Amino acid sequence: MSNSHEQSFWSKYIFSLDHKVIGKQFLWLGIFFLLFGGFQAMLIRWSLSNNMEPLPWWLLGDFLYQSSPVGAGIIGPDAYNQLFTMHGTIMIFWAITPILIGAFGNFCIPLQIGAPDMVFPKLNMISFWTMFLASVVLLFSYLLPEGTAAGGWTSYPPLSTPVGGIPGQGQTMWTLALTLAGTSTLMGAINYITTIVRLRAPGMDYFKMPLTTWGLFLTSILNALFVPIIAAGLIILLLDNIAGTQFLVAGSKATIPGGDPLLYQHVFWIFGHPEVYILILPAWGIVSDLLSVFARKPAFGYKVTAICMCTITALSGVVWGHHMYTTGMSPLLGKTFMFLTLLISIPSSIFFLNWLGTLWKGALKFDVPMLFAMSVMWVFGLGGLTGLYNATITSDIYLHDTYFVVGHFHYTMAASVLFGGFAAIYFWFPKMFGRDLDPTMGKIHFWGSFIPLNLVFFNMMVMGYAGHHRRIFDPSEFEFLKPVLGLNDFMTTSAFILGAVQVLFAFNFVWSLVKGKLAEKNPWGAATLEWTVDHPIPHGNFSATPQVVNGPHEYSHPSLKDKDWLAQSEPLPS
Amino acid sequence: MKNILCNFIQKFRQKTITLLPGIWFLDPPKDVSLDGYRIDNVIQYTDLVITIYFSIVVLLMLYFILKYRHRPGHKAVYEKGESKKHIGFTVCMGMLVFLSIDVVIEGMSFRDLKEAFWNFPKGDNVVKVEVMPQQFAWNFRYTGTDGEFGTEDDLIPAQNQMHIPVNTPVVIQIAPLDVIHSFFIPNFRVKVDATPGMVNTMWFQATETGEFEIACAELCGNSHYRMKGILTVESQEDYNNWLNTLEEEGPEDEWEDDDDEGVPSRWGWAWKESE
Amino acid sequence: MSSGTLVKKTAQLPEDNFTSYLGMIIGVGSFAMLFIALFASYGVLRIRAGVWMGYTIGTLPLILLWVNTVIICSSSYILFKSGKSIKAGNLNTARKYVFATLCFGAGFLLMQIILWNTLIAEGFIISAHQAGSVFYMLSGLHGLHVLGGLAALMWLLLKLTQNKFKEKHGVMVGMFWHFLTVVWIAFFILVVIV
Repeated sequence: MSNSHEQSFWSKYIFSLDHKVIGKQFLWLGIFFLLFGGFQAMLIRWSLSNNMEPLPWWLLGDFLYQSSPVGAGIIGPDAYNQLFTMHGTIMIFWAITPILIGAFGNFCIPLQIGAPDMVFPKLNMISFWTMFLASVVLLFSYLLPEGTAAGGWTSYPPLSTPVGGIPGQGQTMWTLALTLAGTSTLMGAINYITTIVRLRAPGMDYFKMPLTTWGLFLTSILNALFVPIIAAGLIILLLDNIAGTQFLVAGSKATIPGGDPLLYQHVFWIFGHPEVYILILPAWGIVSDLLSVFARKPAFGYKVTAICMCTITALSGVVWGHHMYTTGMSPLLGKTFMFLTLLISIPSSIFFLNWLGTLWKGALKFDVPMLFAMSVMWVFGLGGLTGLYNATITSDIYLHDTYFVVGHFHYTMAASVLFGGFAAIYFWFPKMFGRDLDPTMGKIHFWGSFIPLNLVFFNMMVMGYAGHHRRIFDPSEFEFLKPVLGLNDFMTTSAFILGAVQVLFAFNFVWSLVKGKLAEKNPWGAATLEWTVDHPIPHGNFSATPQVVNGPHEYSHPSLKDKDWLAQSEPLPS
Repeated sequence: MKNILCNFIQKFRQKTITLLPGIWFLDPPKDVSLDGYRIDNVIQYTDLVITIYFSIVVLLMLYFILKYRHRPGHKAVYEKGESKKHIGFTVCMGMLVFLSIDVVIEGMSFRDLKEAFWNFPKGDNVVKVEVMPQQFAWNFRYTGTDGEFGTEDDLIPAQNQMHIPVNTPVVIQIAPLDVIHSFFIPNFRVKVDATPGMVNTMWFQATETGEFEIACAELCGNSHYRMKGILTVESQEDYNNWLNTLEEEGPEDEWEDDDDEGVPSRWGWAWKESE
Repeated sequence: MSSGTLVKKTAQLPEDNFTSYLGMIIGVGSFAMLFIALFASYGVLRIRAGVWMGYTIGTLPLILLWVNTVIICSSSYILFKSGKSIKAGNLNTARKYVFATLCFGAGFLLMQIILWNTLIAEGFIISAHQAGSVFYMLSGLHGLHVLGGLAALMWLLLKLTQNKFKEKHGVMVGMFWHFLTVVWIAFFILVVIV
C-alpha cells in the first residue's frame, strides 16, 4: 500500500513527491511573499502621502533604509522605484502564481479528477524547488549595495539595460529570478496538462470536471505556450545586461546600431496579456464552483461557462497590442487589436451572467468562502468593465500609464485573483490541514479587506481619471495633481487598514493550524471528489479509484432525501 | 503607543471629513484642447453604461441575497441552466452588452481617430515642434525662418519650456535621447510615447491661453517624478515675440558642449512627413 | 465502505508510454516556443535593419559550421538507428548507437567551442554588431540545450547498461535530441545561410 510506507522527515515534508505536500509548500511560499509584497505596498503608500518623512515604527522605521542617502528611515526616489518594481513582480509571480496555480493547482487537480497524484511527481517536486531557488535569488537581490531592480515590473528597456542609469546588478538578478520562476511554472504546467489529460478517473469526462480544474487546465495551457516567450525576452534582456549586446537599445545611446526597444514590449505583452488570464482563470473556476456549492444548486450553464473560459483563453493570445496604443502603433494594427480586445467582453459577460444565474433561485449560505466568492463578482465586475476604457484607443490615449490603469489591474489581478485565492484558502483549508479556519476572524478579515480594498483601488481609478500618472515618487511636484493629494492620504489610510487586516488573516491561518476546530470530512457539503476522501488524505489519495457518474455540481437534486448533495462518484438513489 | 493611536485616529478623522464630498469623483484637469472633448465623451459614455450595467448586477445580487438566502423551509431549485432558453438568454445578454457598450465606443473611437487624432493637419499655419526628452527634462526645437529642422537657424528654447500659439494646430515629433519617455499633457488629453530609435508624431490644438504642465508618463528612472515641462499657450503675437527673442538670444551656451553627458547640440532630425 | 468490498485496487500512477510522450511533447513544444520567439525576434531585428550589418566570416568558420551541421544531422540519424534496433529488441547494438550519438554530440559541442574561438579571433564578437549578438545568442542557447541533451543521452546509456531500460526512455530522449537537430538546422538556414 502506498499510503503506509515509512518516510523520513525529509522525504515527507521537504522533498516530498506528494502533490498535497507540494501544494502546501507552494501555499506557504505564496503567503510569505503575499505578506512581503503587501508590506512593500504599505511602504509605497506611506511614501506617497508622507513624502520624505521617516518611516514610523510600525512600518519598521527603525530598521529599514537606515543608510538611505536622503536620511535615515526615509524612502528616497530610487528606493521608491525599487519598491514598486518588486511589489509588482512579487505579487504577480511570487504570491498569486504560487497560491492559485502552485498551491491549489497541485492540491485540487489530482483530488478533483480522482487521480492518485500528479503524473510526474518528481517533476512536481523539482518545480517547487526551482521556485524556491528563484525566491532565494530574488531575495538576495535586496542585499546588493545598489539595491534591487528598479525598472518597473515590466522592465522596459533601455531603462532596464546598462544605458538606463538604474542599478544593473539588481536588474540582472531580477531577470534570473524571473527566468527560474518561469521554468518552475512551466514544469508545473507540463504536469497539470498531462495529469488532466491522462489521469481522469473513469467516467470523468472533460465536461464533468469541476470548473476549478477547468480554469487550472486552461491556465496551464497558456503557461506552456506563453511562458517560453517571456523567457525569450528575458534571455535577450539578460544578454543586454551582462554580455554587452544591444538587442533592445536604440537611439543615440546605442553603440551597436539596429536594436529595437519595442521588440521587448511586444515579446513582453505577448506573454503579459495571457499572464493576466493565467492568473485569473483559476480564480474564475474556483468562484464558479464555490458559488454553486454555497448556493446549493448546480452551476448555471456549466458547459457554457467552460466554453466561455476556453474562448477567452484563445482570444487572450491575440490582444497584447492594447498595452501599446501610445507607442505609435500603425492605425490598422491598433484597430485590429481594439476589435479583438472588445470581443473578449462577449464571453466574459456570458459567464458573468452564469454566475448570477447560479445565485438565482439558490439557497445562499454566507460562509466565509462564499463571501469572498461573491466579492469576486463585485471586484471582477468593476475590474472587467473598467477594462473597456483601456481597450478603447481614444480613452486609452488619456488613461494609459495613469493610476486608472493601476486601479483597473489591481481590481482584476489583485482584488479578483486574491479574493478568489482567499475563497479557496477558506474553502479547502479543512481538507488540506484537517482543521477549520476560524470563521469569526474570517468574517472580520473579509469585511476588513473588502471595504478598504475598494476604497484604495476605486480611488486609484478616480485619481487616474484626474490625470495622476503612474510610478511617480512625489505627486506634489505637479500643479494639476494638487486636487488628488487629499485623496491620496485617504487611500493611504485605507491601505493601512487593508494591510493590518491581512496580519489578522496570517494569525488566523497559523492559529487555526494548531488550535482550529477539527474539520469534518465534508464541512461544506460539496460534491466534488476531494471531499469524498478521509482526513488525513493518504499518499495515493483514493483507497479505490472513484467511478464518476455525476457532474461536479449535483446539489438539491429533487430525488435526494436526507442530504442535498450528491458526490460525483455517488450514483443517484433510484 | 496610545498617543500614536490617538494621533492616527485624529488625523484619519480630519482627513475623512475634509474629503468625503470629493471622494467618489474628481474632475479631470480642465480640457483646453480642440479635440479633448472627444476623449471625455467616450469616457463619459462608458461611465454611464457601465454604471447602469454594474448597478443592475449589484441590485440583482442584493435581491438574490435577500430573497434566496439560506433559511429554514427554503430550498434551492435544481436548475442547471443548460436548456436552450437559458443559454439563448445568456448569449443574447452577452451580445446586448457587446452591442450597447463595445460597438458604440468602438464606433466613437474610430470616428474620433479618423476625424481628429490620426487626421494630421496640413498647411502653412501648422506649428511644428520637435521634442527630445532625456533623463529628466524636455528639449524642444522649433524651425527657424527657413521652416526646416536640423539646420543652423533652429530655435531651441530653455529646457522644459514649450510655447505654442492658441487656436493653431501643433504637430510634434518626438524621439528621446536615452530611454523611453511619454509626452503627456493632461489638459489636452494627449499622450505619446518617445521610444529610442523611432520618431512618433502627434498633434493637438489649444483653445485657451495659459500655462499647462507636461508630464512624463513612462517610468524613465529615479527622477521620473520630477520630469516636468511647462507648456505656455499664448496669442499668436506673443508667440511670435517669443520666437523673436529666442532668435536674438541665439542658442544657449549649454547646448554647445557635445560631450556624452549633455545633449548633442545638433539633435534635430529632418521632419518626417506623415501620410 | 470497508476495504473488503473494493472492486479496484489502489490507483497507481500509469506507466504507459503515451502519458510520458504527452508530457515530453508539451515540454519540447515549450522549448520550441522559446526558440520560435527568439527566431522571430531575430527576424524583426533583421527586417528593421535593412542591411544586415554586412559582415563576412572567414572560410574556416564557415567550413566548421557546415561540418557541425553534418555532425548533428548524423548524430540524429544514428539515434534514429538505435531506435530501430530497440524496436528489433537488439539492445546491445542500440547501446553502441547511443554511445556513438553521445560522442557525436560531444564532438558537436567541441567543434562549437573551436568555432566560437575562431570567430572571436576574427573579431566577430558578441558585442560587435547585431549579427554577432544574434549568432552567439542562438548558438549559445542551442549549445546549452545540447549540453542538456548529452546529459539525457548519458542517462539513457545508463538505463541501457543497467537493464532498467524501457522503450519510452529511448523515444523521449530521441524527441529532445531530434528537436535540437531541427533547431540547429533552422539556425543554420536562417542565420548562417540567409
